[in-house]
Amino acid sequence: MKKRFGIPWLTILAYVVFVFTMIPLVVVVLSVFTTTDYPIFPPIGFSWKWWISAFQNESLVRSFSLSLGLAAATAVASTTLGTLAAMAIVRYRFIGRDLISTFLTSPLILPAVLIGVGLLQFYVLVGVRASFYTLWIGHIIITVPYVMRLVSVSLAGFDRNLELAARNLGASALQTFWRITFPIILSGIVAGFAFAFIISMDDVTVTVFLTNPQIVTLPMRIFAQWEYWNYPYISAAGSWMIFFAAIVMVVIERTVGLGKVFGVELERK
Amino acid sequence: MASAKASVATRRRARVNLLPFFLLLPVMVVFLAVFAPAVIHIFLQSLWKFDSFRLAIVRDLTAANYVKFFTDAYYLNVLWLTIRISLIVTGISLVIGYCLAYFIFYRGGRFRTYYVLILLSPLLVTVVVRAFGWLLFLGDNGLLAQFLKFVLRTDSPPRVIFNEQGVILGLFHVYLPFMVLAILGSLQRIDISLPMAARNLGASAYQAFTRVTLPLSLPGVFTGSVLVFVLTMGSFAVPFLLGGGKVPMIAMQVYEKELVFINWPFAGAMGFILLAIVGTVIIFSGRALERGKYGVVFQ
Repeated sequence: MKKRFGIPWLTILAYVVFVFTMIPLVVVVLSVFTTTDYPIFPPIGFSWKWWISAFQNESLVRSFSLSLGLAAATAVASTTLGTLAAMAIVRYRFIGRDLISTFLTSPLILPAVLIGVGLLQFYVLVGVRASFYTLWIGHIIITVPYVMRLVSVSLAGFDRNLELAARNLGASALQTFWRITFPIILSGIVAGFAFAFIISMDDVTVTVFLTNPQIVTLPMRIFAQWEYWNYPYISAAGSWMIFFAAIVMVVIERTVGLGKVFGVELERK
Repeated sequence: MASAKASVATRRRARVNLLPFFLLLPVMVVFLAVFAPAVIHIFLQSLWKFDSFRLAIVRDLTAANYVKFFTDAYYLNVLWLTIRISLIVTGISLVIGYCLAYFIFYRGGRFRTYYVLILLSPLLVTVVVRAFGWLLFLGDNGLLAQFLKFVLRTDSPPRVIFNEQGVILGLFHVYLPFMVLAILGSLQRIDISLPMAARNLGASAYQAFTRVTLPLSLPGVFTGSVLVFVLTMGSFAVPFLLGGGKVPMIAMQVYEKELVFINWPFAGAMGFILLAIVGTVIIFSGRALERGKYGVVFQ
């Protein structure tokens, strides 16, 4: 494409949309620095006091550590379960394979409210009280499909001759897995872990049905205080979430590449 | 000798057949013990009666909850509102998303990765925090209100939050990346020599676009539109947080019926009506979405 036919409005529009995309994030992060007693953008003056008060706010810190713990526990469980399931489904042909595959990825198709309502009513039905574990199971259910997808992608482009060679050279099945298979699909597993972590951390639609006053994740804390949002430390809590999202983004970019996760080839061929 | 060989073969075969089930066991335990019964249970419950007098569920089989939804003007209005907002959000995302995907793909050059990063970065931040950002930006003391006050020289500038416009804006922001990704995916599958050939054969840039590039990118347009429509139909947090209680989309109604009015059978019925609509759209849109809600994301 040597000849560039300029459509300046396209570039302008694109930059306007990029700015629009970043507005809510930038606003939240900057509004923490206000000196006023209410959050405002643009911030008035500059101070760190709301950052400090956010860290001193016990309920906010408790919610944040709950969110981190829950996200970590969810990511560990989902990555393990999802990786094993993806191996079974990509590698083997067996009766009911398509059915099981559809079943395990169906949480993506079901409206999230339906999953939330369903879990709440089921827990009530069997008489289980809301706890960290019931919420954890809910988060596992909504994150397993993502892990399966990501691991499946890395398994699909896998040269199975490498495994056969290892077995031929005398490695046991387990050795072959740990020394050959695992390192090759590791990038998919790491991306799945990161995805599960952030989805668990961000979710409100399922979580809203499974919390109780003792178990309030950070997004739920902000959600519940929506009517009384007049405290800049909510901006601080939002900034923590944005910070973790940024970390996850870097992890994904460094492992499988963000473009690949989202099915887009970013380098020009 | 022959029988020894046969027994090795059967043994190997048995192992091959059992291993996948062994691998699937842990996840199937969670899904079969919790997820499947939960979904089946609310479906059954949606066919039961709710005694609003005693606030109790009566286990009489009835289609009353479904009939009520489709005969009550209020709920028909909810349904229409949800579909209307979903169509508007899909339309805006489609137009803007196409321009953006086109820009990133053909004009992005070496910055393409960064453009996609900017576009995707909000996806990983919880909707609640993004809504809070919009609240600060669009609210009464926000930058936009100050700007409008200055430009329009009025003390009460038009609001774009806590009403339908606010919800549409928030939803557009949330789902635009999905549309762009879908269209980018189909743009990159187009053989770049095709529009060039059209140009060489005398087509104008406009013709090359409308006659070659655009038709070839339609699968992405289609996939992206279905995806955004389906996601918007089921959205809960954005209408809840940015609608100011004035934009009762269907998922919000499920939440209210479930947790405020504790009419669980009706909440479940609405959930399944939503699923039926979304499911119909997905099935009728054919193979485009065969890999599920985020199929496009991980194709």
